[in-house]
Amino acid sequence: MRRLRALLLRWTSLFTRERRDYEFSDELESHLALHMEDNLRSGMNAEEARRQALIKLGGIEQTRERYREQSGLPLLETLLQDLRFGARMLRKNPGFAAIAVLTLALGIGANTAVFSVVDTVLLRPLPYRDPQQLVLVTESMPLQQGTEMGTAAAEYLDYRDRNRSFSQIAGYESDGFNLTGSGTPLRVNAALLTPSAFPLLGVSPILGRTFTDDEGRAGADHVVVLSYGLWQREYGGNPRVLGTNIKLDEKSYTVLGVMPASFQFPFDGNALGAAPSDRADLWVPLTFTPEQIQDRIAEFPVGLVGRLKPGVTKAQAQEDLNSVAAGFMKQYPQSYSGNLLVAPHAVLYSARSVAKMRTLVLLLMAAVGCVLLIACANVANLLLARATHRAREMAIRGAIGATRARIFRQCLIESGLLATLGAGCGIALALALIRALRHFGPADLPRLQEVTMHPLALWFTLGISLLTSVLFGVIPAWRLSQISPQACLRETAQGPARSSHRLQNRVAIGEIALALALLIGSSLLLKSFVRVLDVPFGFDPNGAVVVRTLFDRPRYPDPVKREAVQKELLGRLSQMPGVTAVAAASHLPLSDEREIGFQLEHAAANDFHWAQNSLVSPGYFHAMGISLIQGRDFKYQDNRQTPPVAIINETFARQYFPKGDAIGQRFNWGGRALFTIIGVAADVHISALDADPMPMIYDSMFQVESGASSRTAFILRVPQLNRSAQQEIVSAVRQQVWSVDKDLPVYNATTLETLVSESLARRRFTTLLMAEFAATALLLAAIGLFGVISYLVSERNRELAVRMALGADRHRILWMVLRHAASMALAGCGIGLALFAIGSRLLKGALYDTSALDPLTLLAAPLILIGIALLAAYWPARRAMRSDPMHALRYE
Amino acid sequence: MADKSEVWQGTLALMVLRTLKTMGPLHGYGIARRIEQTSGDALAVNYGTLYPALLKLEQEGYIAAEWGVSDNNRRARYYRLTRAGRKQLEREQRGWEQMSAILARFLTPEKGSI
Repeated sequence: MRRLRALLLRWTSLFTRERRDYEFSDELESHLALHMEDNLRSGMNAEEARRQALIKLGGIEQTRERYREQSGLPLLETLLQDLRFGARMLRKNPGFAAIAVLTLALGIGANTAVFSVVDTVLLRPLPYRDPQQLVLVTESMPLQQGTEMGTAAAEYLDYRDRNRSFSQIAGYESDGFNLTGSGTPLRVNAALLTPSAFPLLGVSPILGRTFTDDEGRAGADHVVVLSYGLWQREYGGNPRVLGTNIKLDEKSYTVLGVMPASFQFPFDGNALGAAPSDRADLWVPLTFTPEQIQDRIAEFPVGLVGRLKPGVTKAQAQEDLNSVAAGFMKQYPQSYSGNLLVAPHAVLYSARSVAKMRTLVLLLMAAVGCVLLIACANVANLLLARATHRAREMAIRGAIGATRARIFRQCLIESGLLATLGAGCGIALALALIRALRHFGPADLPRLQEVTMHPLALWFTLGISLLTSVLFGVIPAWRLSQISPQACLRETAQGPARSSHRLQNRVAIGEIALALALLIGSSLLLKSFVRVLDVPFGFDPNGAVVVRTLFDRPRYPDPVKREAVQKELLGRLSQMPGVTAVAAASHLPLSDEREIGFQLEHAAANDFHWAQNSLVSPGYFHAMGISLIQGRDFKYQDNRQTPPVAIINETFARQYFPKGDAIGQRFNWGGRALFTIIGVAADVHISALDADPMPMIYDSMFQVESGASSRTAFILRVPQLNRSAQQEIVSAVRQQVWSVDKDLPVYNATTLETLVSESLARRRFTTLLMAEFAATALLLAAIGLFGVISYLVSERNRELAVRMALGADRHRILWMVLRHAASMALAGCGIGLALFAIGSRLLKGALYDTSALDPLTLLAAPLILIGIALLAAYWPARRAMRSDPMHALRYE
Repeated sequence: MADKSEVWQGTLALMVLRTLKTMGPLHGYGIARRIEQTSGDALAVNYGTLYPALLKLEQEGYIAAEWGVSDNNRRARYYRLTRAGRKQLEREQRGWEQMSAILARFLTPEKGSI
């Protein structure tokens, strides 16, 4: 308590110091006077009396100093002094300070922002209870092309009932419904869940309840749980929606509950790559009909999510699933034969939800790490260069009595001050960058909107940057404090130790190396981007509007009636002014895809293959601008009574009919009939521009009936398309559709151009970010090199002056400095190439049609960097060349 | 060395408090003289070392200081014991007495024990 009081007083005395000093002087004065009086009385003369009093006191200054030490906090005071001095030094060198602070800010800002994104997008746990226990189960057919798929209904039941490693397994499917009865008809995304799913995921509704086990049986399943978003949008967040009925695909469903806003399910690979508009809007029970359970091999729609029993590993679960699968395949040999063998896969949910983004995120982290390293190296070099520059100043300070510790502390405080300033600016920059990322980032980057500054990331980058500043503040500080004043002053400031130059050069070379690696990486990405843009789309994206609707089966149970409406609509739309061609399709490139299994005629009974599929109207190829290479288009005469026909794409033709005799060949699809190939269409990139086209089968939508028949996207070719024309067209289409049936939803109105640019969004974002990182790295490296060369020149000023005085050619001087820079750049490039070779593995997944060892890039990037290095060195070199030798010599 | 000066600081504080208790308010020079006399000039130290000790006691609130006038009309800063100082003196004194009693027992062996 007393000690605290004393400390407090000492602290406040910092601010009352002058008065205190003054008062103590008075006290000492009176002390001496009293003592002198006594001495006089004992017979000394005045001079002797004062001398004795002073001797007895022990010196006025010493006493005062000791008193001062007790009165204030001396350590803190000198600290404040050093701080003030440091700030003054920075103000005196605004260029140095600005560059150092800016560099640090860039490093800290960019790093924190990207780390925050990485954390939110990649590392934040799934919004479920104990997500590390959640496992997704998928199946593949290893004897076919092995793509991942769901399980058949019966298989789901087997996995659920026969496993030993899961405490629970739930099934789910994705679907869509027309939501009618409340205002405009709406197309909503739905997930079908077995009732066990909600308790398994461990998320409770914020309102009402979820499904009971009873409601998981066919017949009792007309109940629905709403998402928070839909509840807010469509029902104004009114809690009275509970218990009311809503209409999904013409059927009435009772609203049971509302889930919290954070709840999303499914959250798998597809949903991950999807915009928020593709999230499930509502959940209904998943039930199976007896026929569905009977047929094990027709469809694999059921997704499986399971919760591992405590202590069970993923590997154990995988073994367990394998034995379950082996069991049912043995039990039903008539279903599982030939190449129709299934293999189950257990995938950790958390790993799956980020798998797609892993390359991208790792790439960004590597890039941003490089930038941070370069920034740190830059600051380090600036501090080093500055310290060598100040050797003389420090020597003088040492000579007039500053202790080594004090000099050491002074240097540390200055670098600490810089680091703090840089950190402040860095945090501001990080905030700005995060805001910008949220605004301009690709919409399909999951959780991008939830990104906020991550404290750990901030501490991490702050830590690294501060550590660098302090470390590289310490090295020169230590060196300076070791300087013998005489030695240094005698040297007349002409040359600091060679070793410090070597360190500076090495740091600069390191920077160049990192910058080169980044430059090559981003150039390759840029090249890939250009390559992707150069990929022939296979269709003409210019001037085409797309509008979707859905003829759901409950409303249109009769295909003939649906066909009549579709034809009626196609006719009406083609009459619209400005529209030159109209067609319809179930699936469009770059927006949705579906695969079907087929069997070539005369193939073995179980020799199945897969192809992408779309049901299209006659005129589709014309409206889309897809060229027909062989054969003919569908005609309205190809109908349900005539023999089924199909058009295949080039890849299909090449793969299965390499002799070019595809026309007239036949294949079997799903036991419907034998389809005769009547045409070969040009390849179209279906899933993405940077994914190679798969074999594809087009069927006539007016000839075959399938699960996809209800999906209808209208394509309207409008040569004079602009934004307002697009809106007009869309609203006109809506009127036309509703004039035929007012309960048809009209949704996802867009243009083919938009679909293309959306499919490129992620690649564009990555490329842009990498380009920005590379530019920043180049800039920082250039600044670093500039700094090093500048200091070098100013340090060799005298030597250069002597050379010139002795008649050296000025251009020779210029050449000498540039040669030094070039040799550093060359060394840096060598290391940088090696660095890139190590890191190129990271890049491979992100490249398209571009080799990671692209010779042109590997040649051009170092040349660019050497050019920049020379440019950075040119300015100080020219200054050296122009300097007046007399001036330089006299200055000494 | 440090230990010795610490002991000195501690004892000095005790001596200051004791002096002020005996003598009433007194200025720095007076305290120094008094301590010197009482200790029989055994503790021949610089008077200057007294002032940090006084300041420390003041900061701890055991003594208070005021400017006053000396017998021969000289302005001086007078220190006096506060209530806290009085208590502290009692505590310290007891401590020292116990300590010296213990030490005395160690340092003056009873007859015949050796």
